[in-house]
Amino acid sequence: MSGEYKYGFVTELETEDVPKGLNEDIIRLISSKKNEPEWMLEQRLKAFRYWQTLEEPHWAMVDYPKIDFQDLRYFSAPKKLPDNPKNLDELDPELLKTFERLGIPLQEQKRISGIAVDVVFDSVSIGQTHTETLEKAGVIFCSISEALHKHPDLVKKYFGSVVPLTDNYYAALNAAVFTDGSFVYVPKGVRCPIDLSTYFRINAQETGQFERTLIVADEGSFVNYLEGCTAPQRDENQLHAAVVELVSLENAEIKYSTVQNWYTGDKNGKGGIYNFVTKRGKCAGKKSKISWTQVESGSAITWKYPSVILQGEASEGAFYSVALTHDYMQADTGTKMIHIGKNTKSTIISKGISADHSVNSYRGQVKILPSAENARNYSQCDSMLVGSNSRANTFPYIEVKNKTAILEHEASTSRISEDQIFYLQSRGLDIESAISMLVNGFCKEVFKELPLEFSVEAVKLIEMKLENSVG
Amino acid sequence: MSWQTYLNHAANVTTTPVLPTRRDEEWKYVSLQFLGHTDFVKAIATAPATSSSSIPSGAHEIVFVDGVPQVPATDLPFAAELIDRSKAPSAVFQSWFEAFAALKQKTFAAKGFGFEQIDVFEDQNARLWDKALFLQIPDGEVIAQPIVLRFISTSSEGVRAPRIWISASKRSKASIVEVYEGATVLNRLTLPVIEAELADSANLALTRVDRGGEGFSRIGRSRVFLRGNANLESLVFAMGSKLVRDNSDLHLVGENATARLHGLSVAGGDQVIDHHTTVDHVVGHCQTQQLYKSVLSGQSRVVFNGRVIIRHDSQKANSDQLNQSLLLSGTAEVDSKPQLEIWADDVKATHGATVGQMNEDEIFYLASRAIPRPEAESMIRQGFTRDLLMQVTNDSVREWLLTLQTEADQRLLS
Amino acid sequence: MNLLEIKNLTANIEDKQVLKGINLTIKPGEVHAIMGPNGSGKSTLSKVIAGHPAYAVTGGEVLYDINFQMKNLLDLETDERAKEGVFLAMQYPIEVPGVSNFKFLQTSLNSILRHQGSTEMEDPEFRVFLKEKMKIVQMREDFLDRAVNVGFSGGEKKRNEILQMAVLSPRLAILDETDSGLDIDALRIVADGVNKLRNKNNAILLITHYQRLLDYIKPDYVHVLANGQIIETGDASLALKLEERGYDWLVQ
Repeated sequence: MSGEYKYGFVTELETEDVPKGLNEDIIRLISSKKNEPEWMLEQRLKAFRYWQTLEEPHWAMVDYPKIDFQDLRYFSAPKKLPDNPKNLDELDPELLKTFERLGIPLQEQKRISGIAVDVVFDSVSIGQTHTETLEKAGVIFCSISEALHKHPDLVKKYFGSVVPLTDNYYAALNAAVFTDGSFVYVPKGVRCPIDLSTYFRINAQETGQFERTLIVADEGSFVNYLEGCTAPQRDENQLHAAVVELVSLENAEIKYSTVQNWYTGDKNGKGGIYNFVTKRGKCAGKKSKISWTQVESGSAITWKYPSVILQGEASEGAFYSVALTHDYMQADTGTKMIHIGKNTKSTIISKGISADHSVNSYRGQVKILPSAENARNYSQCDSMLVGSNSRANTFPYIEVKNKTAILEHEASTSRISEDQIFYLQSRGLDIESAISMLVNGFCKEVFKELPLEFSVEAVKLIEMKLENSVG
Repeated sequence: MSWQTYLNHAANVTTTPVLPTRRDEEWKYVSLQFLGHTDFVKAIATAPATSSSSIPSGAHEIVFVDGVPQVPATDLPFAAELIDRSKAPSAVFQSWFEAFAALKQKTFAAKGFGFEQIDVFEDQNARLWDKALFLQIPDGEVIAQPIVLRFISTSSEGVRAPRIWISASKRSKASIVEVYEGATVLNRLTLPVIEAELADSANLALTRVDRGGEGFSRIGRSRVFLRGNANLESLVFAMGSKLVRDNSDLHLVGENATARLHGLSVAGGDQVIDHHTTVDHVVGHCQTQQLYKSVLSGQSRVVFNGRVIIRHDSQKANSDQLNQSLLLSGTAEVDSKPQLEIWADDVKATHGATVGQMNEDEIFYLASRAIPRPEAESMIRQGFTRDLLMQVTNDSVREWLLTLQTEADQRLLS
Repeated sequence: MNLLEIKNLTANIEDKQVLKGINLTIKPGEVHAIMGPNGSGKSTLSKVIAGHPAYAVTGGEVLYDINFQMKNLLDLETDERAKEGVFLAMQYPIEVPGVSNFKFLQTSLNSILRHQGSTEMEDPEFRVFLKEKMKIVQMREDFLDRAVNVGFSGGEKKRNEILQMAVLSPRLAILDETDSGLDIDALRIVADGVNKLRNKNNAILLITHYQRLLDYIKPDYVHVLANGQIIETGDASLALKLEERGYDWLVQ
């Protein structure tokens, strides 16, 4: 299957790096390279000092060698980057070629697609498309470094308000060394005219990617945000430890979709990305909504729990996930729904498919606090095993402290049955089409939550990855 | 492992154990701070056995006074051997024990399941008991009358450590009932450990009833091994006691074994009831079903931590797990963790959890049929869990449980 | 003397007014049918009379003969109304898991008997009594031990409602869409049951939007309910007219 990772190439570029290793000087260096305000440097140092007091977490169902954090590079940027690329045509032609190969032609993007893209290459954002349309609507969509200069008050107000610096080991590390990421602000009453998207690409060797995304939807606004990611095929493991924060105010809605296709390692489990990500949204206002939709099909190890804090009255959170593991991949993913406000509602639909020697765990928490009168949750977590050496685990944590809560959790584990395949084959389908039909049927409830382009991509991705595992 | 090895191990167990805290995943929802001590000393009986207020009719009864079994002199249709730590047990027990220990060792050798982890309380039990009980149901013997093991405490000090081994021989059938009673004021702790082996085609019903007072706590483990075609029917009915931590472990080691693990908790006041189950499909073609229901009032807390393991190559395993709770008060808390760990592909496993409150439409329906609200609510509460009791196959045990259910429901309101 | 007098009754559900001034008088021995389009307030009226907590009465009164005095039913709890002989056969009978039909009906009947100062029925006596009543709606023996309405088919649920009516012998029986979802055989069983229970001392209020139930149970009066008010009253022939011409000619 390794041969089929078509994003595994490396772009030859001159880069500007900081030395390997992690200490306060490196952090000061990163901050000065980005010309950051003093308060941000202080935040970074605070996070770093806290991080040093923590122990690296150990997770029951995930197994990997200890990471040497001093052997990583925390900043790498393409050298030939104009200071403020208004026009993406100014970019290094090598870079433009890279994104063409990834299926993201930056120049044409402006004309043919209705999606505004921010591109993050290693540690820095290299530019956005569709800036004019967004400016007209008053939507701010830029790299977080740019936002720190142009909209310092907004960033200061919301940065770290959902995922505090002290949240967990990798969130603290990210807060100390994050290099770039996207910032979105949708003003009051604005329905973002086009979908926003960030594309993450890790290129450089021995470099960790620590991006930071912050999306704020002000009262009555709406935004659809898509995230994609790939990395070259390398023998050593690379670390990706991102933090994503969403804030949804009164009557606002944020839909956040991810198709994660980092390099998984080869068929013997060598190489691949460690994807340790903290994603959390806060439904801060009344009737606000946040939904996370993810198709997790890459990375050697995935550890992420996109969560929603349901604070506003009658706010709603949703989590739709397909996680596919194959070869020696390990995924431990799920969500947390924390019900605080009255009449809050959450939905969890999780579909796990494990093939080959992989381990696929769902870990999810639904917490109904005493203040959450009439909270509702519905969870459904299904697993499918393909082949007899894979593992599927389900760890739901349900904690209810209010008697008016109504909560349902259903889950099942099964495999594609021979009878089903036989039935479809007897109606003239070949085995591959039969399996893809069954797998798509299994994931349907999640795929339908994705924007159309992503949904088509997700279906193809899952089919391609499963081709070798079934049969 | 020989009997002597077991005794040697027990002799080396620490007298000052470190108790688990809530940072420990297995004790996430329950604090043991109220126990206030870790220096476990043996409870010494201060009074003889008293007769019971209520047990199933026609039962054979063995009373444990502060953990020590009193085997009656009368003729019993099964073997009941009193095991004295200071004396050599019978050859029958020793050879059964060795085979059982070997089975255990083989089952626990598999890595990745955490079986090697030491349970502090089980270890303390091994150190503390003076006299244990070995029950053996003979080959092909069908015993209709329930065998009641009643646990009472007379001493206001120390810890009780009842230890029981049960061997259900081939094609035998029996119904064993454990009843934990007593202690309304003082903080009395009982740490029972029960291990059972069901031989091929054996049938065993294990019913455990906690009806202790508000000063009584039980932290217990039962561990059952099922061989081919064996059938286990287990019910844990927690209607009393301050703290109940019930660890029920099943290991299905023979094909076509079936097991039913049921739990019923009726909790009020500041009671804490914590069910931890492990259902381990060691081989394929076995069926297990877990259904745990809880009714909570006051500031009580009920935990269900169900763990289903379907091991590699345990194909055609079939496992269902469901936890349903009815919350009656705004200050009670339900925590549910129905987990699945699946290593085989051709299996069927489901799990689920629901939490809800009394359904107003049901109450209205009953009220519109002239049934006053308190009575209607009681009927609905009891109806919610009655199916568990109706499935108990031993008539005498079932009848007795139904009267206890009404008692538990009334106590809920007081 | 009248059995029931509804005067200017108005009621809301979740702040929405559903009943907008209902007036209706029923005498013992009468059968009244209330017909009307969906959403006209038919089911609301039946639930308000029985005392469903989800409906808020905002005005008017429901007077009912209790020991030869007209008393306001609205002052009574749901179970107290049932004890006074008000019975509602529900459109969607509720499932009550774990509670057997036998236990349910016995508790219910004894609660009424106790209220009336009569002797309660113990197990064996009640079993004989109940089996006799079960014949009226052709209920099978195993019904007794099954949980109330759990796993019942639509037809079984409706027959169960009529059986309850037979056991409790109400003075005012309100049958809310008892005919909906029934095939012709089940409809006949249900209608036969109701006819057997009809007498000069009790009254029946049928709520339906089909004429076909009225082929089996002949009403003395037919009322048309639309938009929360009774807009037309007639005899059985009104139902036939509605069948032919629909409601539009009345509603306009």
